[in-house]
Amino acid sequence: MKLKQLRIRKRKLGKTGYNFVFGLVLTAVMVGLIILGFFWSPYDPEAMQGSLKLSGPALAHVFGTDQFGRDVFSRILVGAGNTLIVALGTIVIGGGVGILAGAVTGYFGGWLDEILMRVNDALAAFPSVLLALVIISVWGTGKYKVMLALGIAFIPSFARIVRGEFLRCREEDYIVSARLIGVSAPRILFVHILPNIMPALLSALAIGFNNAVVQEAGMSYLGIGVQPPDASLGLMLSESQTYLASGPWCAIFPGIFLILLILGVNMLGEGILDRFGGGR
Amino acid sequence: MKFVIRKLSGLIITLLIVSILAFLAFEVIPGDPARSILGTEATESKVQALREEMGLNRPLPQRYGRWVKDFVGGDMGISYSYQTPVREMIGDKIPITLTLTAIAFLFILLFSTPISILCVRYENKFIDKLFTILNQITMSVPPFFIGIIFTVLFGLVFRLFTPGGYVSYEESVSGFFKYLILPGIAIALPKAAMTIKLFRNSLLAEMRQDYVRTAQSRGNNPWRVLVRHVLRNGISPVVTFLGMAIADMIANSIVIEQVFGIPGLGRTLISSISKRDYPVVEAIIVLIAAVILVVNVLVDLLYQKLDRRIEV
Repeated sequence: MKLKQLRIRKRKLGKTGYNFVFGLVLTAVMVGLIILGFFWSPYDPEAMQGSLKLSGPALAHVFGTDQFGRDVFSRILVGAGNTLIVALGTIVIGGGVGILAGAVTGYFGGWLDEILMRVNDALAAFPSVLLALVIISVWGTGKYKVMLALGIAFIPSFARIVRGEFLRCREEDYIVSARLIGVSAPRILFVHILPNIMPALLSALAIGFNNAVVQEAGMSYLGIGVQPPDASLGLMLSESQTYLASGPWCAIFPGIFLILLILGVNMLGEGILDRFGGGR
Repeated sequence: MKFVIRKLSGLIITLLIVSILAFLAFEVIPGDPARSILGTEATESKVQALREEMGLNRPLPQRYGRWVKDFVGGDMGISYSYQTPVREMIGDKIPITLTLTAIAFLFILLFSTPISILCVRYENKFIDKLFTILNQITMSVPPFFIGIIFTVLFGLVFRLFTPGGYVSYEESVSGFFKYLILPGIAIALPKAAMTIKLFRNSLLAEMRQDYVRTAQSRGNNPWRVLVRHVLRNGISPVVTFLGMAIADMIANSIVIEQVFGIPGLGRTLISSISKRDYPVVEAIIVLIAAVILVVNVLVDLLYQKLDRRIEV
């Protein structure tokens, strides 16, 4: 009996679990490395060694050193930490407000829904990065301002997804019955409906996380995101561009780290949808 | 026709909202535009005179109306940092960025259509699986990193172009396009990967339909059925996706322009943001939003043309 159950589970995993498992492992490894970087890195990421400017990958410096002789691996760990903080902050702000707005408008509808969705349409016409750029140009640059700007810029897309899901659930039998026996609206919204849209929501959050990572990197690359002396993967890529010919590793390794992080979260998001379904 | 009118009126309403939001966003910025133009050493009476001239003392709705009227007429204000009309600063840069986006768009179609068809024709065979994995990876690469890789590979190793070099379209049209090809591909690759994924799934769903089985059982060539019938029916979700992708692609052009040193809108936008040159930022943002909105309406119209069943 036990063996049979095990076999069934195994077959299920083989069919749909590949994205989920691979994504989970890759994400765990990358996030693990980043968290490690908060407490420990092989070298001081700011320490400059004049004798080791732009030296290639070697045993002592696995990813080489940059134009100031700083250890690239240590800088990647710390830089990715900032990237992670910005990305998480972004989805907390964007996701939080987006879920609230989407839930209320989707469930209640009415004129508030009409107005908010019109504004949402208009905002959706802006690429979110442009909206973030407007906010940055008004508030100025820096790690936390980027987080806030991206967070606000991401609200419309989250609100739209959540609204659609709540709209779909609103007329389901269990919600109608809950309403009939007098369950309060906030309880219906967040205790009854929210858990049921989790798979769709989580995968949307995963996509949002990735977008935030890419956009933070892009903005820091442009010099309007995270500012030195803070490190960030995008900033490292931008600094490395002048030395592409003499030290390509300064660009390649931060880039690969960025790709692996995005790839992991991407597959995890898809895996969640594959595995737990969602209403579609 | 009713559909077209509906779409166009929707476009006008959305443009109106965008313009109000943009106007308000730059209106709440602390600081006095007249003071920004004249500099800190200007006398108070001079600043007041300029405020009067610029209409800054009038009520908000009036200022908004005037701003819209000027903008539509082509007067986008004066740059704070260069004291030149914004129109002159960005006029010749708009074609560059739009051309780059258009080239990227062409590459998306060029990559995704044949590969999606190939994957569907050989579903679950080696080539399909290979592209599925490649796709998954390509999707995760930020365009500007592809740009950096291209610079290293084609610029420094193979010496196919000079990194940071650029030929203006007034100088040589073919040279101009040559320098936009690699940036275009860099923008296109991740989006092409997403398109292939969507396209493949949409075509596969279509392949399960009865009419495909009928067509094939009558002895039609499977390639022919795929290209002549399935492709046409399975393309609509892709059109929607590409319409939405335009916004992202323009945003990506802005970043890619910095990687390759292309003097398009992006460079002006970024330097204006750093200098807090608000009239320039405002003009570029509103223009880009307008382009995106118009393209989206065109996509909707095209969508209906492709699939007559749509009557929304």
